[in-house]
Amino acid sequence: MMANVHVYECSHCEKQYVQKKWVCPNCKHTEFQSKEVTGEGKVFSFTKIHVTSQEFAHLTPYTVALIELENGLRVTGRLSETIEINDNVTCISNEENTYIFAKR
Amino acid sequence: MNKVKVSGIGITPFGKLENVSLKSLLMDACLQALKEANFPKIDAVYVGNFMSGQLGNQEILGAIVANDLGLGPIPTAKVEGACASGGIAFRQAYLMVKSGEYDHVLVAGVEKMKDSSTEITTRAINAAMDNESNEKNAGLTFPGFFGTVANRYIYETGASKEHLAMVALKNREYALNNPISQFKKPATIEEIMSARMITEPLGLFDCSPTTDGAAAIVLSKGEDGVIVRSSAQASGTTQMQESVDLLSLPAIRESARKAYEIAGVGPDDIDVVELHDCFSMTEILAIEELGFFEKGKGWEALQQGLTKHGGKVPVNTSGGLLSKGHPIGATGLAQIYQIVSQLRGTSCNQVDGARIGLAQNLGGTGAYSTVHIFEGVNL
Repeated sequence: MMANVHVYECSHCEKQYVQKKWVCPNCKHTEFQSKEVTGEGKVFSFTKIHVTSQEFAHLTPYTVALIELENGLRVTGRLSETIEINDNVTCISNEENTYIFAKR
Repeated sequence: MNKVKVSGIGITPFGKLENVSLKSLLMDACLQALKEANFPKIDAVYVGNFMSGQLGNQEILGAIVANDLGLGPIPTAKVEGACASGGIAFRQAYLMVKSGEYDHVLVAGVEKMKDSSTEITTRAINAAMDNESNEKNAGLTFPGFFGTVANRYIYETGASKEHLAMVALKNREYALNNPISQFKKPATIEEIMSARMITEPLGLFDCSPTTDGAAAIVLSKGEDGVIVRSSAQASGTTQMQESVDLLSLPAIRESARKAYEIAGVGPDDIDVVELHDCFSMTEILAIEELGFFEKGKGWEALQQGLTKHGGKVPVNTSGGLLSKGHPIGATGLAQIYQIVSQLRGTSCNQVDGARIGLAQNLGGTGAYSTVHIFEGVNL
């Protein structure tokens, strides 16, 4: 099971952002296109969270990782496995703007 | 442009203060500062606060101060900038006196956090992140950002969890001598390293506590005593995934660059520092970003004892956020309280002959930073 990562691409300079922008910080243009990019990448860093807000308390302990995708973009997602920096991972779910990754 | 001096300071005890309200904390700190300044005619009030609305259902803090301290129908405002609320409030007060608009301004900071459960407070603190984001949905917490930074820092630099513990130990040792600090129990490096995990690799001692407390300062037109040499502020990324260099907090670097430039001094001129150790990891990044040590080498400075008495520059002689406590809106003012005390020669953990001091206050995951540089003149 694999899922893509949704990005916003500046129509002018083609720079991509995981987070929506209203003005492109790179070239100051205001038009963006939605695109899907591959969810394959590697772990740039991570933390295993033991104390959290009520909303996520039922998941503890859980791991949140900063994933560097193959195109160099970084995206924050959640994993249920034990991981190390540089582990290869892939996005397995992207529902409701929540990215879940797993080792591949 | 006017020169600006600190004409009064006030602070309450920090900790879990039962049966003391947000309002009475705020008033206590303000009254101390006003008394010390000999009750000048205050022209305006700025109050730094982050969560009085969320946790205590109380806003209009500026008008409450003006009314209950009998300051008259003067303009007031509450300033919110997450954990940098106090530093930003101070900067607004400073700019108003410097510009000549006002002669005397009262600036205060307050937070009452201990009346709420950890889950409620954690949620409120998460307001310091951009929550319309996949990061929030992934379950990233505010401490989790710094845990992720710490794992990468350890991976890239050769530092270990023990170096994080050295920050916590140093600040605890300083806090033992500060009468207002939240934690006065000695700790050992082993105890710090084996404490329960909050967000790996950060354990309990690596994270600043929730705290009740307030601090206040009166700023006046003037050229002697402790003067404000410069004030600078910068913004940075609001999301981890947008950080170009995860091991950098550009808002600290930029605010420091501007503050040094305006004051005409550099890191080597600074005798004493209070900086924003919301987590042990953050202190190591901050000593690098403020230019005291090279990037990626801050952990070595800890190991060599360069950030305490007898080293290059003593950092967080108040005990810092980690052990003095971190009442969010008050923190920026409490840091300045400590630096002013150091320059007056009346501080706990006094640095002999301290003449120039720096206070750095951070908000969010690097979203805001203020840097203020002070000098003791004719003291």
